[in-house]
Amino acid sequence: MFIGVDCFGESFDVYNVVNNYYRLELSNSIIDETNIRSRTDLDITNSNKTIWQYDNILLALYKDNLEAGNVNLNGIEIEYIKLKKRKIEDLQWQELKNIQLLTGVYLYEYIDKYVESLQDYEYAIQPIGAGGIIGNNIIAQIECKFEGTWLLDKDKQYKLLYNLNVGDYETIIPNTIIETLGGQYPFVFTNGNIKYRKGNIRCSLLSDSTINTGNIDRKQEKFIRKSIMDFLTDKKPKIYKDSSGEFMVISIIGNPVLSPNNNLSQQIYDIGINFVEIANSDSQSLIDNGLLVL
Amino acid sequence: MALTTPIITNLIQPFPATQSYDVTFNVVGGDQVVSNELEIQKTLDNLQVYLLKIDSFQFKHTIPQNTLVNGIEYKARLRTYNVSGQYSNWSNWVVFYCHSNPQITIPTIVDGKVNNQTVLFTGTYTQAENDLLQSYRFLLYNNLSNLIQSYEEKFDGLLQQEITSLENNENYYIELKTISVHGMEGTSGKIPFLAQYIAPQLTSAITLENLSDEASIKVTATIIQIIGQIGSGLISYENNELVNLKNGMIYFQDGFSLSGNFTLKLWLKNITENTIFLKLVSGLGILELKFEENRIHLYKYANNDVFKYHIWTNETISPLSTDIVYIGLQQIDNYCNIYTQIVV
Repeated sequence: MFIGVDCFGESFDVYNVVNNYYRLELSNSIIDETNIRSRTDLDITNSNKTIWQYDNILLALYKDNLEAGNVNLNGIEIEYIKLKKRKIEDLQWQELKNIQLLTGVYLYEYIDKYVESLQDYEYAIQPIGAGGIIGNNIIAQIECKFEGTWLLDKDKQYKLLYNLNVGDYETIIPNTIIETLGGQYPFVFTNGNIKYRKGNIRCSLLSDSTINTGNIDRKQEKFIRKSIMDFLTDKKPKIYKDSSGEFMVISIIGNPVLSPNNNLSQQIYDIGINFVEIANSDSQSLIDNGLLVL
Repeated sequence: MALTTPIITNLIQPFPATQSYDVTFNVVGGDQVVSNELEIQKTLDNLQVYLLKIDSFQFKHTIPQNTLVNGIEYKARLRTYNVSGQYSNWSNWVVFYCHSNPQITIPTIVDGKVNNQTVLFTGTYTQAENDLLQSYRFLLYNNLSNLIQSYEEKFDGLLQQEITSLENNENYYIELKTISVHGMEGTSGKIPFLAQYIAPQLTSAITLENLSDEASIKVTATIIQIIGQIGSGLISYENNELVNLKNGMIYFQDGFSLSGNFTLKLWLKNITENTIFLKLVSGLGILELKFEENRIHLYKYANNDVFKYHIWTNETISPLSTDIVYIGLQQIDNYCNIYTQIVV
């Protein structure tokens, strides 16, 4: 009996550590297709071909090129991936981001803060090839839902939740009523273009530390008070959104007010602001107001 | 009481003389109107071309088709009659043109298709009486004739509009509307077309997550881009579905990473016997496949060549050079399993 030797006299070991392959070479044949997947519950006696699956690592079809990823170029080099979204009832897509592809990076994530609550959205990713060639969309849908009232810009966002008092939203449409002699009814004149909203909110500022521990963390309260006042007084456009589905590009007007809570020895403050709507919420308006960079 | 002077209320837009046209007027106070009389003259020489009194309570007089001639400027005035046959003063003259409808086409669309996602649509405008183009506008509709976008009105006379982001294999309608210097409106009508072009495909998953604590949506996409390279020799493609490596070698490295367990499936033909046709390279060693003695053999070598692993297929195959051979290979925890057959 020869231990560790096969019937041909070649030595072999059942166990050996050779894995983590970083290169695949092919030669000395004419190849039709190469498919590598991470699943191992597949039947290797099944010679049926499959398209790219979620666990595919490589799939080369050799259609006059050596493409083997989940991007089939037909010879066109991809420059970047375009991320877009639209409300489900809209026809026009809004561009969110152009994602440059990086070698060795497979997973791409994007957090979209500019969403309305109680709204169904479609998101799409679309490859853009050299020469401006646009590929097909891959689309998915989702319903957006959240609680509270939020103020945010490109870099920061604040949730206003405690003792929240949202004032009336007033829609401004200037008009003039002219009554004429002999006429029963007046003439109403409007500026056809002016239409915007204004509002105000008031709430208590509380740091996460105070909320989580139940004890007032005065240092964190001071920090968050300064942080939010810097945010509200930087004179830059912001986004206002709330759980009822309101969404506006706004400017803070008037003077933000900090009111110390005297019952708590001025350890907690209330904040009150007035705001006015200044733009539409489409991608171009967000870009024009410095809230979005493609 | 008497009749008051009527006022022709509609600014008479240019219209084709081959169509009828309703001239409307208004009367304030005075006797009840039971008839109206319309007179039309050429402005060039004040030659009267039309004079007709009709009995009607309506404040309207229809110019019959083919009464006038295209390409001519006219003026019209109107007076009214009461039940006693008395008539009012003539209204003021109103000047208008008769022009035939312009012919508007969009020759960019060939056989109902366009072949790119960004298209510079160009239109043509011809008008028989030389009523020149003043401005134009393109409109884009989806396949249900819902308006997607109305492009800005242009006065440059180029009849061009670049339309971007047309979706592949989608049907659209496009319309070109014009206004002439005499105010004649024209339209190409809604012209259907299909946007169809070769486009990069993307077969990756996009997943969405509602982050309610952050009032945001998280978008995750898995995008893998691997492009093979020629390692040595010469390669060629056959029939847009095969790559000939009899005299060359290709490799996949950038974007390629095979850690852990895997299943590899290979379809190929005309394998050179007793040579390596597949090699997987790792930092710890090599896995190779060879076609020997009618079986597919798998060899694994550690870098220091101390350890060796060798298995082969139970199945034997005797393929012709034209037969497609299928090979299935699995590695599970460093153990391998291999299978082959000729694909019918």
